[in-house]
Amino acid sequence: MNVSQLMSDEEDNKFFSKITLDYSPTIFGEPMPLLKVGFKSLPQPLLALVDSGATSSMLNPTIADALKLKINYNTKKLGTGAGGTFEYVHSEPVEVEILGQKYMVGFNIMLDNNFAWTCILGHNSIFKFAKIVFKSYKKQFDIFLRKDIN
Amino acid sequence: MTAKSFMKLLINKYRGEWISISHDYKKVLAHSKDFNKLIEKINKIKPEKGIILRIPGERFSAYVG
Repeated sequence: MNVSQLMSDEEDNKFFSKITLDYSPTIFGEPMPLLKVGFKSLPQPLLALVDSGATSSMLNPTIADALKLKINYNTKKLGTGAGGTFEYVHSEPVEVEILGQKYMVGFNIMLDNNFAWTCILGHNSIFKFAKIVFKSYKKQFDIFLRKDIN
Repeated sequence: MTAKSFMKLLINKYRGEWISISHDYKKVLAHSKDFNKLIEKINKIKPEKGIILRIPGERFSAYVG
């Protein structure tokens, strides 16, 4: 056993067992990597896009209102994505449930209610909570949730 | 009808609405243009499992980075 194998074994101990999920059907026709995200005060989870290209995690403003999140509108910022620019504000962290585990996430709240995704999980949330391997060639992704974060 | 075909139909039928769909993506459990009304409907019918999503309106952006 070499050093890299030892490091790999040590790294693997930090995660729960692999969960393989199929990409979910979407209204756009193309299946995509989506996760169900539960919030305490909502009776059903939201569908969230797992977006490896997103620096931060985003939430629809109507959902933020329903959750009564404290939002500082003085922090309004301009973001840029492949689709153009968009305005957003920061909100206080909120507890979410993903695959049976609870985490705190500080979402950015989109100020445009016409945004197609209700919730996006980016690098400040799901990619901190888990190791994710995308296998788009067979419309699946593997997710290894961390044991040491919640 | 497959889940994929069903989901594609939603964009024309429920444009601009909030909907609750079954976990197999094959049935709309409740829908409303008003999110709070959707929650009321969900709480009233108490479906065992469902997922909330929003069908965008005429003008929408699908991507953010």
